[in-house]
Amino acid sequence: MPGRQRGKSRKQKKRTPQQRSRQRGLDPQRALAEARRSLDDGDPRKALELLRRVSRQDGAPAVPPLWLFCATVERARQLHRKGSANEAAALRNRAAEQRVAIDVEALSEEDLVRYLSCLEAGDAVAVYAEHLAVGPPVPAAERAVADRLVIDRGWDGIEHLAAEHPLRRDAEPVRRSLDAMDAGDWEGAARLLAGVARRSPFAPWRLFCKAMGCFAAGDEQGLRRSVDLLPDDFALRGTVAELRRSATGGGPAGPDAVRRALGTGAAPVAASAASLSRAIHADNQREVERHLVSLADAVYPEDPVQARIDLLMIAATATVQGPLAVGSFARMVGVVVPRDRVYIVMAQAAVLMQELEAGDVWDPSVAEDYLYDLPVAFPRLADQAMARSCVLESLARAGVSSGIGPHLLDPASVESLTVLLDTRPEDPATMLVDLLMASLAADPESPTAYRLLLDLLRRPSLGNTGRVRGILEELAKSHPDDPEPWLEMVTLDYGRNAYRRAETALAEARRRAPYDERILDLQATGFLKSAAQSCKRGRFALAERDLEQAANLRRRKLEPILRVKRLVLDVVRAGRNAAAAAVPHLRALPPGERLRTLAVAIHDLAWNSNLSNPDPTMASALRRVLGRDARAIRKLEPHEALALVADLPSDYRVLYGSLRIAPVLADWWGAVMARLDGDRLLACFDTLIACGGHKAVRAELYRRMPGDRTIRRDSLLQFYLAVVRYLQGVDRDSLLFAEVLERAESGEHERLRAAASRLAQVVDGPLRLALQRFDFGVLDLVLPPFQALLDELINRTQPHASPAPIASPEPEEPDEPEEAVAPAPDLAAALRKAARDGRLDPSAQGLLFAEEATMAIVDRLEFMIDSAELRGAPPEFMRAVADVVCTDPEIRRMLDELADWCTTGQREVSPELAAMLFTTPTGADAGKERR
Amino acid sequence: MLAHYLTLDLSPDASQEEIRRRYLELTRAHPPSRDPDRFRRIAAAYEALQDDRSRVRTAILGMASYADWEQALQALVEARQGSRKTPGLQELLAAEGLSP
Repeated sequence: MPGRQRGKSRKQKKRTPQQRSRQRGLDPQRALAEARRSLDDGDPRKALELLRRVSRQDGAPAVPPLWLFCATVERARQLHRKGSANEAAALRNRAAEQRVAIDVEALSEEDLVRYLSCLEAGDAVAVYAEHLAVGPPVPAAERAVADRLVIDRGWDGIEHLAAEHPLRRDAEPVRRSLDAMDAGDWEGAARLLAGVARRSPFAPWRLFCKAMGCFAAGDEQGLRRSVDLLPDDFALRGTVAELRRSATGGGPAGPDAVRRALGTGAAPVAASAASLSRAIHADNQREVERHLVSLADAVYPEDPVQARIDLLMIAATATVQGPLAVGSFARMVGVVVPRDRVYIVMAQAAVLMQELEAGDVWDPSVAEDYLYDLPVAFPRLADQAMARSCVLESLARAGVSSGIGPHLLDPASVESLTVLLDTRPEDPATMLVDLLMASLAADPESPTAYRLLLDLLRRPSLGNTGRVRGILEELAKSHPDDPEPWLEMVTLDYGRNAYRRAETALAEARRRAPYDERILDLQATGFLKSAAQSCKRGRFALAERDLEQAANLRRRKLEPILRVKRLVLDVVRAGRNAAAAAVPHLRALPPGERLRTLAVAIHDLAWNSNLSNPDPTMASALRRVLGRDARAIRKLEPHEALALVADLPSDYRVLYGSLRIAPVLADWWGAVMARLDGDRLLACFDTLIACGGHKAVRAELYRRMPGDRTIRRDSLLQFYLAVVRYLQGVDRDSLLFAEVLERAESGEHERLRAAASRLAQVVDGPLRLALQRFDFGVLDLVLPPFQALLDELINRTQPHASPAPIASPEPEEPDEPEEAVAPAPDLAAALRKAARDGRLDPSAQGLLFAEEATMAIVDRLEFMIDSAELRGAPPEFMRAVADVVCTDPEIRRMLDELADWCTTGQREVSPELAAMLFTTPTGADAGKERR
Repeated sequence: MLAHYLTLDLSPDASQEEIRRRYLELTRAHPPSRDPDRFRRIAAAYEALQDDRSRVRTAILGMASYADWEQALQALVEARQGSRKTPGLQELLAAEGLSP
């Protein structure tokens, strides 16, 4: 019936018949209860409607005037906020009429609080003052009045209260703090309220200011403490709820407007991150997925996928650093990332892991995979070029860190490198250089790739110096203002005795950096190098002139080596009277410097003995002088003793292939170590371990840690003991390291970590990796394969009368030649072949061509060690391998001759080959202990 | 690396000019003398995003610049919390519907 519906409101029209009947038949008591509930829930409109309906019902109980008043005031405030000013004013007027009917004295405490909350500040103070005249103080009511005072800022009626009343007493600091509160300077406001007592009605405001200060500063703990102390009836309860949720991650959220004002977003970030962290530690894939997704939504709701990818990269880091399994990570990527991004995210994670692992794995296919899908990650072409440069540089850096050797490349890696470089790498020795060149080709301005390439080119092990110089020339062209490539060319040219080219490069470097001190150093070093060449050829006058020119440059740091060069010149010139010729040079020197000069002179003679002029008798003569003077070591100051065995400065790398002087002093290592303590002793240990002096270090450690083994000792010394015991092959697992770390106090772990970092630079193989990571579990993974290899080698060598099993490897499958070779028999057979092909001619020793031939054999042996995957094997194991293969007389003779060659020429070979050549691990310097 | 963008309160597709401008604004608002931690975070974020090369490198390997994964997670949380606002009392009262 349209006529009847016309007068009804839209809302009335929407009501269903059931609703209408429910309202008609509303029980007055229930309606009052529901009205009160609505009022408590912040729905005054509903409360008001219910109260009106009850008041209209015949026979219904009287509606409490307080409720009606409160509902009307709240509704008026609601309408005022909505902008309906007229309606709000009308309701206020009605509320004023309703207020008259309220008997304040008859109100319960709870109702009094409600009443005060609905009054303006001035009225609230007046009403409460009236209440105090007849009744006791009500703390909740005082808090309500305090809230009204702060919210309305109506301080005029405060005089109604006694002067000593807390509301009046604390009103002043609260008034002063309001400006700071309005400005959002909550810490400042909290400072102003510091004098407000804990029991004051304004105390919640002090706490609230403190909570807001903690919230702004990200102090979750402080925030939690403060919001826990706030009473439930505090005026800003929505804000408090949101603050609590932000701090604890639980509880109801505040209103949307409050969340927007606080910028807290959809979920508490810190709590979500803590949950994710716990899930990663537990390696709980599903939990990680769940928290990762919720954290991504909270962190960046505008693009949660981007946030998920970022969090996945954090998870990828966690796989490298321990807690999360790689398998869990891979499954997770498939779940939380859209399908079209899975491949690139996996590839990016692999690149990141390789960068982080730096020393463990080196896999060029990782970079290949990432670059394949590069446009997905970087749509802009310019970004793609820079990304390509970055990934290639990262691969090269990982190769440098892992000490990847040219012979460690498997065919798949070669294929990947071919794709990355657009050409098959011709010279495996320079593949890292090729990668960096490709990186610079993609982004010529990349400073990091440029610096890394320069560092790499400085390495003497790079081989092909012609190519290195070519690259340096290219770099000099592409970076015309930088003197570095020219300085490297100078070093390279001096090393190759190309003095004229070195001079030209020096002039170019000087043009770019006229005041660079390194140029003068290099020039002086060049003269020293030239003097050594002249001395070797017997042109002593020329050598003397070169030394004079070096001296004229007045390079203070070159003075010690200049002294050595003068001594060596006189010793070589004197021939058989070498010892006598040395004396004048040593006479005026203090004992420490005298010993050091002699040691460096012996080192110099050894490195410059490959031409006929200097001969072994000269070095022997100097050794005798050194032996005579060595008693002075016992009187040296600790710093002098350490300086005696220290390596030569890197400036001298033009002059000598090896900068290690300690091997010359091998007979006196014990005396030197006895003079040292603390950090100096550790530095000495590092030097000696780098020279293979494990036995001496171990003896010194036992000397310093006598007595009962169970007694707690210096954890650093124990750590060094664990290292040398591993290097000597006494312990080949992580047990001792674990024991040391367990016994060490938490404060000592940092020192142990620092020692591990230093030692990682002087050892190789799995131990290096373990020291780099400070995680020794990796040592347990290494031994079994090597042990199996040794067992196989021994088994194959047993029937020595019949060489077939060793000399003739299993016939290779024609289709798969690269996979059919067993490493152990290959090594023995290859060693025998090397022994036959390159037998050393003792009469040829000292001549240049013999040097080259021997170097070729050494190269082949190193290659074999790589091919048999023995690189990084413990020295004790290599000695065991040598013992097995030396049952063949030809191999034994070859190894003996090589040991001789190393001893006389002070040549350095890899630690693995050195272990095969010498029965003790002191390397080429310890000839007296050779096989 | 979202953390750097969040620190600067920018979206990941912000232009170089926007990044620079925001960096200057934030360093003025949080000088090292008053807010050293915040300043350090802002400076680190700008360094990671200051040019295209840095942005690309940060996008690929940015995570490697942290000591460990927990520090990276913490940095992300701090960056997000950096965007927490500290409204004044009037703003909060309005949000709660308590404005006089």
